[in-house]
Amino acid sequence: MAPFVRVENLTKIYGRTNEAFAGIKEVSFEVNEGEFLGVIGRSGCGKTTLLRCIAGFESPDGGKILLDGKSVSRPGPDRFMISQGLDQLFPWLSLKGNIVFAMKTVNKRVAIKELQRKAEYYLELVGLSEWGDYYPYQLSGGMKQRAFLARALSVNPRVLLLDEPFGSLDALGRKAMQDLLLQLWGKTGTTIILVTHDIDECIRLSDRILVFTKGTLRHTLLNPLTRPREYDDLAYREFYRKLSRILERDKIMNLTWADAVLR
Amino acid sequence: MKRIFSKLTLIFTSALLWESARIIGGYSELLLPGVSGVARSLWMEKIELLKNTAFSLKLIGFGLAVAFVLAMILAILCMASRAFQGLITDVMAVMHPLPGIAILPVAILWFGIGVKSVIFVIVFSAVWPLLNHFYTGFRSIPKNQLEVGRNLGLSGVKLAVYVMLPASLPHILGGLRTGWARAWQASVAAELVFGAAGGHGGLGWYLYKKRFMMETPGVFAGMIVIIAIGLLVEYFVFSILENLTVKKLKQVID
Repeated sequence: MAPFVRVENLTKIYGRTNEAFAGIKEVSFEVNEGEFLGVIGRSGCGKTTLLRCIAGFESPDGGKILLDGKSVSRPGPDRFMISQGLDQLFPWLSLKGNIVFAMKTVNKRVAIKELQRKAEYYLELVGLSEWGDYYPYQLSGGMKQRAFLARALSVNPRVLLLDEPFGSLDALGRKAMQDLLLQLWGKTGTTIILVTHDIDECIRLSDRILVFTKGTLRHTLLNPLTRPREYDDLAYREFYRKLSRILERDKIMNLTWADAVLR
Repeated sequence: MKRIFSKLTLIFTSALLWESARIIGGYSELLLPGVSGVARSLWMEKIELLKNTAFSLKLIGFGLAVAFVLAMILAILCMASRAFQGLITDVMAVMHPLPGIAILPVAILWFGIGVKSVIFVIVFSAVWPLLNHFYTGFRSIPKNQLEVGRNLGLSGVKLAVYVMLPASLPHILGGLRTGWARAWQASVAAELVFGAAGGHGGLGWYLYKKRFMMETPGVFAGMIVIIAIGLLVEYFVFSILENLTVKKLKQVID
């Protein structure tokens, strides 16, 4: 079976060519349909850039991205991205209105009644049934993040792109959101690419892990753990140590931008 | 209710101060007419005042609409092109401080004495503050919200209508407030300075006639109508629009 998402020699460099300061260089990998892929690395390693290129928000300087065999370059609802930050809902629409607007924009022919019914379904999915008529400013941070997920799923994307989606939550809220995400992933079977700098999050969620350092893809690890994954399992601790050693080592190598990107 | 009460108190107190100043100072009706004189003038001339007000509102409404569309187009072009943005910012820096009334002589030269010139001055006065607010509004839209719009497949005009316009509504309303005030000032000033053609005129023309005839109570009556319209529009148009829209845009919890 051909890979679902294919990234080939993707290069995106910010700044002038002789003094690049961020970006990615010749990154290639594949993602299978329905897979949960984790991308981990320190801040500034290019993982957000990678996601933004796949989403179509940045135009690559080289290489290409194929979705189900077709090259993609412009943003589209088939690759829906949840970015960092809590300001992603439209503040002039109610929570339900936000979801209906998203679905209506993507699928113009469906009647509003039907969309409202569907919006209620997605709100229920993330546990926000009773909050549909509230406006974004009336919701807490955690509720907003649930809402982002509900909206993203409502447009039925082929790939869900998550950029540190739970970064602004406390540890408890984060764990709850991870469980919710896994549950939704199980229900919808959507392909997910998750970018994070949190080792635990990456291990708990992903099937496979890409390790980025200074703009290059350094390692690909298969997650050997079975689900559900608990922090205190021996195998979990062992895999955690392995992954953190890899990240540590890459740091000690102290690659500079010129080394990594512009060899 | 409390707010209405405080407004009424304010109006009552100012009337009281006004009247007592006149009595204590012993000014003549020509210099400072009394409240009753002005009220009489308002009542006696209500038909003419209404006609003039309607005429003014028509001109201002039309001029403001033209300025709104023009400013919107320019603001969108500014967002689309960096070169255009630079050009417009420079033009705005030069034109914005120029009082609309200052270009009336040129307008008369181009459009003749009459409605066209007044409308030109109104459009000129309102378009720069509108543009300034619109452009600021567009630039202050959170990047995430624009990207959600693009992610849903919106671009160009659709992105502008469905995301950029509602997202910058507070700034658009602010612009309309300033534009409305500038348009009023321009229309009254234009008629006050150059009169009106063909017997049709607005409140500026009314003030001009009353001044010419030394009917000071009439001048005050005209001013009061202008103030009253300003208050009415503020409380019944802008405030209501704001309650319906802008309040929801406030991100209280973040």
